[in-house]
Amino acid sequence: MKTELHSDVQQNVNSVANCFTPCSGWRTRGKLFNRGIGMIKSELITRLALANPHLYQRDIERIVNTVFDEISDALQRGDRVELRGFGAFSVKSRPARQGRNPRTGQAVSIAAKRVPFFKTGKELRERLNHKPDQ
Amino acid sequence: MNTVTRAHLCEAVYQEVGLSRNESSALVESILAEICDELVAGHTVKISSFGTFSVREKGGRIGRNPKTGEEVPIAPRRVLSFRASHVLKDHINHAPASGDNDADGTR
Repeated sequence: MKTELHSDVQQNVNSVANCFTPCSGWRTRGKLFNRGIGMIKSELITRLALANPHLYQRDIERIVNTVFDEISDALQRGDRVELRGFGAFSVKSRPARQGRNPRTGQAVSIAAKRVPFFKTGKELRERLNHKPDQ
Repeated sequence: MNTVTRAHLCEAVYQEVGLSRNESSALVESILAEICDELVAGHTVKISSFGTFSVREKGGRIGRNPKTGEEVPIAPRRVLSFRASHVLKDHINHAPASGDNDADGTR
């Protein structure tokens, strides 16, 4: 357990050091959110195209876009999207509130809004915490 | 409130591209599998105009059972966080454009 933690931290430090790519990440409450390595939509499409040589890449692109558009549209309607083993998307309502411009200190009223929310599925949560089987 | 499931996504893919239902659902499945594998490897997945899935390392801490007040150790763990893109946020806050009455028919 201890050594595992140590190697994880080490890995984190290394990847933070290596992650000065254009899309390296963001900070929220002082925590670095991502490690600069990963996959973007076009790479997902390329991988699926390699795995499905009988399909045109542009069709795969349409399929991937359809899936995410369908999820966005469902959320817009206020529906919940539940994908077993992956997670569930839902929409939460945030009431209107009085905000403040942090630079000027001026009070600003913020309208009520709806925000998307994702809850990780059980299976994926468990897989995340086991040894990465790459 | 309706719940959209894999079946709805597969149906949408089936309608969009001229593939069989089986193949449509296999593709939806492989999209999710690719994303999961990437996340399990500890990598970030960015889907433009949708959002970013990223894995965060949480340190161990002492938690408390809220019911009994008992202290419980929480081991270091990895959690998945999703950050929606502005496009998605704007889309959600935009009123559905007359599409609210086909909620059941066309999906």
